[in-house]
Amino acid sequence: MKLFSKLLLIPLFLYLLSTVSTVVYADAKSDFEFQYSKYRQNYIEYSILKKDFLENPTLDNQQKAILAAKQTLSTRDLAKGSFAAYLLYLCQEKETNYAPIKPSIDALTQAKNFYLSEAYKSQSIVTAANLAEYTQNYITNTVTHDKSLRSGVVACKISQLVRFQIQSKNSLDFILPKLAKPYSTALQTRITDIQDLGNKINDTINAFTTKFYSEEMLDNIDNESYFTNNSETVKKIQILQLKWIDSLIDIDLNYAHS
Amino acid sequence: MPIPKINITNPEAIELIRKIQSGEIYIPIKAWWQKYKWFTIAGFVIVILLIALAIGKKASEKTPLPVFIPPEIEDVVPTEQIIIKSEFSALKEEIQSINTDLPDPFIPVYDNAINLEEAVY
Repeated sequence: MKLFSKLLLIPLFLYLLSTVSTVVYADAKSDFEFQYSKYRQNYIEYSILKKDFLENPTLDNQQKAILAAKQTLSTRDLAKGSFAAYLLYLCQEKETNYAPIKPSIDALTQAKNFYLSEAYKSQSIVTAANLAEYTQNYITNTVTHDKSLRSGVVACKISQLVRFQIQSKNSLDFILPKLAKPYSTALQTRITDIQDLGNKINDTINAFTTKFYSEEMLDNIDNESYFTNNSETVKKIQILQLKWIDSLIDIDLNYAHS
Repeated sequence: MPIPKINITNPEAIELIRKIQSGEIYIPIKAWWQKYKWFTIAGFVIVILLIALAIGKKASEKTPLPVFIPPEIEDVVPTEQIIIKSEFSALKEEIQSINTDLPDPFIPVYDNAINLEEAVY
């Protein structure tokens, strides 16, 4: 009988193991989407109960509104935390290890920790006064971390551009030994041009990153133009990278295959 | 047996025999022929043609029409174009697909001021 019960436990254990592993392997993006949808749901509920309380301020309505607010606070910060985790994943997914964006990586890590701790902290709220005090402090403390999310988005894009540069350089290093030596004058010119263009793109990315961390840009972080200006630079770099890769493809087709 | 001799006594019959013998009875026929001769000939020719067509149709139905089969044309085989694709095209596509519009991913809007106080606008 004991053996039979043990045998029954094995499938149950396997089922639990598979469930846990599914949760662990859920990617950062879907985790954020899930948390954000929960926040939206709770926020609607909180808005309705708050309205009820303001129209009919009974103790019962107040308690219901506080509970809904606590729930919303928790899911809001979990959503923000998972968004920070998603950005961290995007910045680090290809392990570019581009040191200039490290401040953004650190800031995102701090933001993630802050939001997750706030999600936990908000659950100690009991009264309306607690809630008001908590929110007052939160508004003050979250500013830096909310800015980290905005700058983190741009940092991830820089990381992506750097990754293309690494891949491009690896591609050139891969093709050079395949070319017939000594290089013809035309080929030598192309190789020099492509190397110069590669250095120019690296310089542009470095300059973009330096400007990105400049005080002027950090002061401008909450403005609408913040993303517009950075988008333009990203677009310019993308155009240069496409020009570079076209040159490489040209060398590959005309010299490496002949 | 001898054939008995018939004595015609009817005056109308006698008159008719007289007209036949003298040729008087053919005068209106000749006059009609003179008047409608070409119409009659044309009608006759048309009838003959119609009969000939009917006979020809019947005869053609019995003999199947020869089926014309155009000579076979050899398929034109297009010249095979060898497209040399670089192994770096995938990287190019990857660079092309990057979204340059920021913020990407989009940052959702959160309410940082969750409380039970009336909103002041």
